[in-house]
Amino acid sequence: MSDLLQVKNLKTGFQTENGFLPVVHGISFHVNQGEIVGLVGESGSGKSVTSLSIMRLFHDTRGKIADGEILYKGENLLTFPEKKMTKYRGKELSMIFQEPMTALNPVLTIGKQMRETIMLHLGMSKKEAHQYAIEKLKLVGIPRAEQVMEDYPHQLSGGMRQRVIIAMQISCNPSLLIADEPTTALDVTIQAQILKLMEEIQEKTNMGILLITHDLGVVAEICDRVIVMYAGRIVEEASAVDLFENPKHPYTKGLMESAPKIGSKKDRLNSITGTVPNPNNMPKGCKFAPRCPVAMPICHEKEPELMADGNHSARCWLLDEEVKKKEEMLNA
Amino acid sequence: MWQYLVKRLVSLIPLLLVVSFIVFMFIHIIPGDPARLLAGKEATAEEVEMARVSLGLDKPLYEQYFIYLKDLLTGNMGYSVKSGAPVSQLIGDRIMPTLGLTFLSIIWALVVGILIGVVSAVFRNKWPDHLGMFTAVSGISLPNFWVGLVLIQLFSVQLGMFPTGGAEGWSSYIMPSFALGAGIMAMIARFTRSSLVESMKQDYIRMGRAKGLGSRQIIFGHALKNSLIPVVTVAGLQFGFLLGGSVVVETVFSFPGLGTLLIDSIQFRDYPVVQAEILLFACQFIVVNMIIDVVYSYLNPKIRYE
Repeated sequence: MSDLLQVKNLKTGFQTENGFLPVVHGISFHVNQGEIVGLVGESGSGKSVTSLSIMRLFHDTRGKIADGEILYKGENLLTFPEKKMTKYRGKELSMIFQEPMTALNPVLTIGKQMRETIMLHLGMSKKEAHQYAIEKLKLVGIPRAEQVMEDYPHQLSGGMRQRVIIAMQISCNPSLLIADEPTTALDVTIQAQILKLMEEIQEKTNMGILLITHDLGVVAEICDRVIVMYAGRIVEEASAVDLFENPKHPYTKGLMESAPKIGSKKDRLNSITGTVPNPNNMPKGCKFAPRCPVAMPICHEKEPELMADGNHSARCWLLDEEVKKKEEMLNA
Repeated sequence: MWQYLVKRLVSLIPLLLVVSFIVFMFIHIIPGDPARLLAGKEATAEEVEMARVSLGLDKPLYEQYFIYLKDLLTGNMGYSVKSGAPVSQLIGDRIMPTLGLTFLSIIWALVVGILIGVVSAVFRNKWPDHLGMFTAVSGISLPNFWVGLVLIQLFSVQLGMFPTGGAEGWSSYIMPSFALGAGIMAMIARFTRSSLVESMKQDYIRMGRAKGLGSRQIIFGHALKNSLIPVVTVAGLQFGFLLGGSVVVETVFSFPGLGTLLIDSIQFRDYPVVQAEILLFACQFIVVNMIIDVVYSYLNPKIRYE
């Protein structure tokens, strides 16, 4: 398996009146061909900014990539002129957004919006693109696809719209699909259908998928590997199986405990107290320390590095043998 | 689409009836004896009585209204007190120049306004934007009669390029339509700019970029059609006012249109003409509104399917 996407030391933030405000603090990860990688975190953890950085979609915003490399099939996307990047978007790397209700242009037919991409990237005529688009709509399970081509977005349900968007974004056979909370805005039953659809498509096309979500249930459902983000940093990375069996970071554990479980007799769900720290006012040491139930003095002083144990790594002082020993001695 | 159009047309009928009734009542509501008003100031008592009978003013009000409606439908709008000519003929002579003037004004205002708006939005907060918005603010702030007078002074008196007034040939339309359209152009430019800036922030624009569309396709293929919805509303309303509101500009340029006819008629208390013009302006407003609705439904599919 080769690295399809490799993000190295990515630093992204926003240009504000008080200067540059970093949101993503030098993260590194990769996505292999044929792999579904989950990027998990709360709101404000920097996961969407990460995805927008990969697509370089900061037009008309104050977003700015300050440092790092984003290697796609070995080429650094950040060095591309905008024109070349435009050619890659939708063709090589594609993206699905959270809100299917607003991601389609309300005044253009589905057909027009489908054909547009196909004609642009695959050089088809309008007629060919039309037929091709119908095939793609059928592929994502849209009944009476011919009719839907003539419809306007408001005539379709949320689930149907998300299917249309998926059809649109995979129509040019991209190697990498970034899905930013693709099921968040949908009903639970529709969520499951969409996830299944993405899994099927992935199997058929062998594309790499970076799935951004705050929902560990979604991760458990389809991801091969998981990256947990907190406050713009990666705090844990492991295979999905490993992560669920043996979460190492207190934040990951907290996330898992806060998800409802069937058969649990508890009246109330666990929650992680507090909120993600404001980028303007980050704590000094480990960014999770103020909310961490097992924080030690060192956690408030110094930020831990990402510590790897085989393919499972986490950013926590508890994993540092020396720190652990010292702590045990203090407690004894 | 046709269904929608027919529905809209049918809904106009009650509106037109109400308008015609109000206009009909106009002559009865203003103080004084309608027969005397219509016979003219110098008429003798006998002439007033003759006018009352010949105009049917001795009949009950509802009967008068039906006669008025019937006359309207056959194109009979009464006779001018001043010249004795049929009102329909007076209006007929003046309507084409005014229509020509308003259409010219609205067309250049739309084309230039949208263009300035798009350029300003695309180069937001850069010099083309500042220049565009300076032009727009000037257009809104400068009163059209003043613009008209300056144009006459500059291009007619000093440079002799265009006639000072009248409606002889196309050159006499240029300055009045410029003066008339400047404010509307400015308003359209501002609306297009803010609307386009707003559209560019929408999710479907980011989606379009994620699909690999270039800036040109994003702006003209996706954002502009959405942005034009509010612009059409503004332009349409302005157009409605233009039809009645060219009075000032027509007067400045002594332009032989409906505006100057209205001023003359009011000064002479030529009530049948005034009455007919009011009715005409009201109908124009209604028709323009209807056209806006149709354009609107073309731009916004949600309306079409409701």
